[in-house]
Amino acid sequence: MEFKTKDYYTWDEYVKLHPEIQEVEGAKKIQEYEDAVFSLMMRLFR
Amino acid sequence: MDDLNLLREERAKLFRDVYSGIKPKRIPIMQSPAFEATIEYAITCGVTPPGKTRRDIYWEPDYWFDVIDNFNANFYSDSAVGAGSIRLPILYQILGARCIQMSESGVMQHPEVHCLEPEEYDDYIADPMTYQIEVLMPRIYTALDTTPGRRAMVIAEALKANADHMAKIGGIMAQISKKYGYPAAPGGRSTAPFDYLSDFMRSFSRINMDMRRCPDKVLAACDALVPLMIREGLGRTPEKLSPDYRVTIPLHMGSFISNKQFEKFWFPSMKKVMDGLVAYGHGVNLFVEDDWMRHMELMNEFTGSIRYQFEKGDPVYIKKLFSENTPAGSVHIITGFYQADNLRYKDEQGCIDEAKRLFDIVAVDGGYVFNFDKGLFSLAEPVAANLKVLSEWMRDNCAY
Repeated sequence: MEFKTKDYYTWDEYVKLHPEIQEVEGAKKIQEYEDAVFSLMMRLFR
Repeated sequence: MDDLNLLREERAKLFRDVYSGIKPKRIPIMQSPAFEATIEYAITCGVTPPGKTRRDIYWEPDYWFDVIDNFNANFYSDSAVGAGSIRLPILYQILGARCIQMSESGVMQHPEVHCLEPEEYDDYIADPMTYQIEVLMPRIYTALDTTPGRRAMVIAEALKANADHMAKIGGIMAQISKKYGYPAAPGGRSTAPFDYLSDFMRSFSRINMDMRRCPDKVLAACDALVPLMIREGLGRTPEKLSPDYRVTIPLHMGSFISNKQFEKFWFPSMKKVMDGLVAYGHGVNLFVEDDWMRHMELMNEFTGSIRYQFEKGDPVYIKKLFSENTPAGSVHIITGFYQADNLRYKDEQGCIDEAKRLFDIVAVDGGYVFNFDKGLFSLAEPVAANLKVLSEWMRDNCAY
C-alpha cells in the first residue's frame, strides 16, 4: 500500500509544512481533495 | 419492512451468499449495458426530447435519470443498472484528450496512443505518478501542454466537471436503487500493472517490442505500479470500507500474449496487486476480456472472493477448474459466458434454451452470477424484446 511520490502528500506530511493548522480538525479535509486529484490522475491513464 | 425493502434484502443476500461460497436461493442476475446502448434505447422509447441524438445526450446529464430509469423499468436485474463504465465527454474535451475521443455517432473510443518513450523507463520507474503528472499528461492531454498557469486552470476545470458529473450519477443511482429495491454495491476500480503500462503509456504495439528489447525495464515498471494499483482500488483507508466492497478490474492484454510472456510479464505484478486488494477481506471482479483459457491455471491462483466474467472460452473446463482447484479458503465465481449475440440472432425460446444449456454447466451448486459475455452495445430489436423475456424467465425459473 505504501508508495513514495513527490507529487502526493499525506496529511501527516502536509502538516509538517504547515504546523499552524495541525490542531484544526476541519483542516484535515485537505486530504480528501488531495485524494480526489490523485484518483483522477490515476484514472486518466486507463 | 415494506415490499421494496424485502426485495432489497433478498437481492443483497443472493450476492452475499454467492460471493462467500454459499449456494444462493436462486441465480443472481446482473446486466451491464454500455451507456451508449442505454441512451439509444431511451431515444427509441421516446423518453428523451425529439431530435436529441446520442451524442447530445451523452453531454447533457439532465437527461441521464430518464435514460437510466427507462432501462431499469423495462428489464429485470438484481443489481442497479447505471451508466456503465462511462467516459465523460466533458472531462476528455476539457483536457484535449488524444487517448479517448467521441465519434460522430456518440461513441467514446480509444485510439492507439503512447506517451512514454523507451529511453524514459528509468525515470518512470523511479516515481511513476510524478512522471505521469509532470511529463506524460501533456503528451496525451493536449490542453495541458501549455503554461503552468493555464495548465492549473485546465486541471481545475477538469476536476470540477468530473466531480459535478459523478455526483449527478451518484444521485441518480441512489434514486434508482430506492425506486426498484436494489442493494448497495460499493466498489472501486483498479488495473493490472502490465495493462496499465500498455494501455496509454506504451500502447499495444510498443509493449510487444519492449518485452523483447528491454524485458527487465518492463518488469521493473510493472512492479513500480503495484502499490499505486492497490491504492487506486482500495483508497487510503481500506480498513474503513464496507465488507461488501468489491474492486472491478477489466483485463486487457492476456489474450494477446503467449503463455511464456504472460507468466513472465503479466502475472507476477498482478498477483501482488490481487493479494493487496483482498488483504482486508474485500472481493475482486475481473472482466476476462476475449479468450484467456490458456492462462486460467495461473489465474486460478488468486485468493479471496474473486468473480471472473468470461467473454470467450470453455465453461466446462472453468467449472471443473474452479470446483476442484480453487485455493483453500477462496471463492471463485463464474459470470459471463452467455453470448450477447444470442439476443440478436435467436428467438425468445432460443435465448432461454441457451441459458438452460449454459446454467446446466456453470450454475450447478451455485458459484454463478448471470451476466452477458460483455456489455450490451445495442438494444435495437430484436435485442430488447429477447432481453426482456430472458431476464424475466431467469427471475422466475432459476431457483436452486
